[in-house]
Amino acid sequence: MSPLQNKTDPEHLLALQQDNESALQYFFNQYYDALVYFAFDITKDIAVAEEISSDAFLKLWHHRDQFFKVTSLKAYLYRVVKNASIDFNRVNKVAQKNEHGYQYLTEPTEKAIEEKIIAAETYALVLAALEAMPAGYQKVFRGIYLEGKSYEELAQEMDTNTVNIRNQKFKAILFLRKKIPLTILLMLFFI
Amino acid sequence: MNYQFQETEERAQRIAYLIAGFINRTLTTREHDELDLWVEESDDNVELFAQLTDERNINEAMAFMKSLDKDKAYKKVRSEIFPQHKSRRWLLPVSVAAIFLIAVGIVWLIRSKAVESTLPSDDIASTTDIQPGSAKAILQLASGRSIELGKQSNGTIAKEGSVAINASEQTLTYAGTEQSTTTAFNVLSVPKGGKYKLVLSDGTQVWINAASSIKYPAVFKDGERKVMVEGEAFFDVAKDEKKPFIVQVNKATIQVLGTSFNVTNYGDEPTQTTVLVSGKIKVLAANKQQELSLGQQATIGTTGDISVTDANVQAATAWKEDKFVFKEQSIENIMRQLARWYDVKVVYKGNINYHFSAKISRDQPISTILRLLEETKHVHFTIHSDWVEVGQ
Repeated sequence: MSPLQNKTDPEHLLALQQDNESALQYFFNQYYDALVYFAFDITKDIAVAEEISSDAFLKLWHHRDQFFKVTSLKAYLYRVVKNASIDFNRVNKVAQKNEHGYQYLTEPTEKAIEEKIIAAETYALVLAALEAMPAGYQKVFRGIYLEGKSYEELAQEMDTNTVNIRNQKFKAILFLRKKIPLTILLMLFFI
Repeated sequence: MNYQFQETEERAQRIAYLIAGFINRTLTTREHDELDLWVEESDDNVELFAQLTDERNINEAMAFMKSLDKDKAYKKVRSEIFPQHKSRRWLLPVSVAAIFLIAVGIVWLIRSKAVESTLPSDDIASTTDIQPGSAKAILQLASGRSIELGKQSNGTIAKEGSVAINASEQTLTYAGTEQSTTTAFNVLSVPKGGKYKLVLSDGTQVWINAASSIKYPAVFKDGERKVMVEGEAFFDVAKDEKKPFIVQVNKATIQVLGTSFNVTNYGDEPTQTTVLVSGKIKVLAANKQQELSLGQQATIGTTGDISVTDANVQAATAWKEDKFVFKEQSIENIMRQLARWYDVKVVYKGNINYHFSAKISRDQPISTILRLLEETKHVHFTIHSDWVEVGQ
């Protein structure tokens, strides 16, 4: 249990500057998923995407004294991952050139990069909200909203009645309403 | 450029918050309006929104992110930052040493048994490789006397006024802060296949690459600290707000307060480059000036025009850590660097129209890096005693 557990982003940022390794882990836990998703979106290679994202945190550690805002830290991580992913594609395309006898390079535009960041961030937020929900609510919420199942189908699946499912769904939404403004809104404030 | 990316990232962050809120059903009315506005802004946005809220895509993304082993990944990162298991780290060098000893033992056995009946037929192959550069330099004192520096150097080798000049195998150090009225200029020249480190009288550290030289006073006079560089050098300037540090290169002047940066100014390179690693510097050329911030480089063209771009700091300063880092470089660019470090001539047979990326230690013989580049199948090398042939 780290003493930083209940601290906010800016406090973790300060801790990071003071060489506190658990602050690095904190940011790793927050951003790793989204960065890997983003890198995978560009490289289409999961092992490479994971390596590139891990490397970004190594770089972050080496430059830890240079970040005074969480936004710049996050932008830095995305920039490092973006460049490494594009580099990987370049090298790969160079290898492909051999087979086809000509070189083709399609690089994502600024706009495409922005869209990929939006996708990665959206899904990281959805996952964070889902994971913060108690298991029972999660199942109902996923079933109804993400998988498009009917109350009847879910009731059958979970061996209960539709009234219970409705109740669970209602609780899930209430939970999200309370939970999200607290954690994510707070995060946004400080970002 | 960096700031722009941060803006992009911040905007993306906000849109992501709104779309995630839409999926999670947690948006307030006002946030919903904000999301609507964004979606209606363009067809691309409509499409992105539809894509991201598609349940199959959501589920796929959730499954993808959940499949990642974050703890394992973090442990790997941590082990690279804080190498643990020190006892195990010893194992590799020790076992390599052990294997080497065994090999030497075996060779010695074979040789001693058959010493009169064998011819050293392998020796030709091993001599055609070219060994890497090493620490060596020539110091020219104000009096004109020259001193060779390198392996044999140890202790105080000369004095300029009351300043003692100390040399070790790899470093030349000026000790003393005497204020003198006359300026005794010394020149440290590093030949091809060499490198050397210099510590100036103010504590500024300078790493000097192969085929480069630096001219500097034994002691800095009042007002400014000025040195002249030809070739490539990395500076870590000691802070002194009252005495700006100035590096004069062929066409430009670099002004510094306290910072570290790399200067390339080779006669055989088409441009000269200044890469900033930390702090702030100012580059002046042809009556124009440009300030560099972290991670930027200034390139000075033949007419003295300065252009500032984002640098690949790792590639630009790799030589200081005894590495070669090439990023999308033409074979000519790569060979110019190899020629300086391995002290070889390069002969081209045909054009190589490819760009290469590589990262390798430059402590190796030349064959190691050439074989690595050959792996691409786009280039072929033949190593001769003091020259290398480059072909397809």
